[in-house]
Amino acid sequence: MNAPTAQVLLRKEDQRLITGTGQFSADAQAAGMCHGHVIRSPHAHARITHLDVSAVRAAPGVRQVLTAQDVQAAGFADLPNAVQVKNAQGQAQVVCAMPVLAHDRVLFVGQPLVWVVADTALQAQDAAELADIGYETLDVVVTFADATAPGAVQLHPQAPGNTSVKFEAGDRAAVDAAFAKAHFVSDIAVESQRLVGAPMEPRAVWAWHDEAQGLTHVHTPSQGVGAWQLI
Amino acid sequence: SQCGCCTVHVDGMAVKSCTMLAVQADGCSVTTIEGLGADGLHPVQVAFSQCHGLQCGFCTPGMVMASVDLLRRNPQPTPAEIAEGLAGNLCRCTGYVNIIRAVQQASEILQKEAS
Repeated sequence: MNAPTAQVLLRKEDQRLITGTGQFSADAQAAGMCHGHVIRSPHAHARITHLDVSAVRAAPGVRQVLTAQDVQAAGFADLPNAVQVKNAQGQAQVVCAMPVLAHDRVLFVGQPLVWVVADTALQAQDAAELADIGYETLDVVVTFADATAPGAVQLHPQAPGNTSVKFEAGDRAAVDAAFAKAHFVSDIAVESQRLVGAPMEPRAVWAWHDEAQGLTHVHTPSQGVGAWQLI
Repeated sequence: SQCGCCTVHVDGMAVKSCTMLAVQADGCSVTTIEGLGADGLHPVQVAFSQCHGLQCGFCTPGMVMASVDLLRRNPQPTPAEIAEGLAGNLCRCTGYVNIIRAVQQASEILQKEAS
């Protein structure tokens, strides 16, 4: 039997990427294509006191401006939550609705508020700057300790104490018994950092409706193709 | 200036095209990544592929153009000099280790071709 030969395996996709012919979401072009821009919250926690997008609607090239009212009128559901764990007592995690577009409050910097659609991406961005949005900033919680401290600002009425679920796994009695017999006992508190995915491409979507076939085509750089069917 | 993806050569010198007005290029020779490999791949392009100096490829045109200019100015750069030379180009997925290796490999190939 021949010994395996070490050799460099070249990637099949490199040719286009090293010659400037790679295609990314922003390169997608189609006849009559419009471009969307999302107006996002600049505050971590605020009440929306007023929202006037009439100047956005009147801006050059703007085709459509959508707010939470439009989402509601269209009957769209809130964004789905992929996971809902249960704790050992059978109590399900409280899932708080994450609206497609924020209505009365924003809960994080970057939360989508308004969707602007225009003939070009620059027109949509320019128009977005004309939105008149008033915010009354509210107290924020940043860390786990902040969020669970007595008197902390409550973010969702259905999740008192800002607690979604108290989760414990394993056999506490067996663990306690094992520790009781140990010669030496030490303890440590481990804090899990917040994990945020850093996608190679920004969240982007390219969609078109094929009237003849009655099909809406959606192209998106995503690992979670199945999850898209929930939306 | 920003990520460096748009780096091109203006009269042979690497320039981030987003920082330059079109009129400033009047009368100049401009080479883009597409022009670099017009007569067969440049050794820097080959080295990026062979050394896995790219993953998603978004930064690659700028990385390649900046590297070609770096090797023109400094044909045998040290890893530290390569890192400094490419400081204006940001990669968000592959990381810089293999990019530095790619520039070193291209340097060796260009040296052999020259001798």
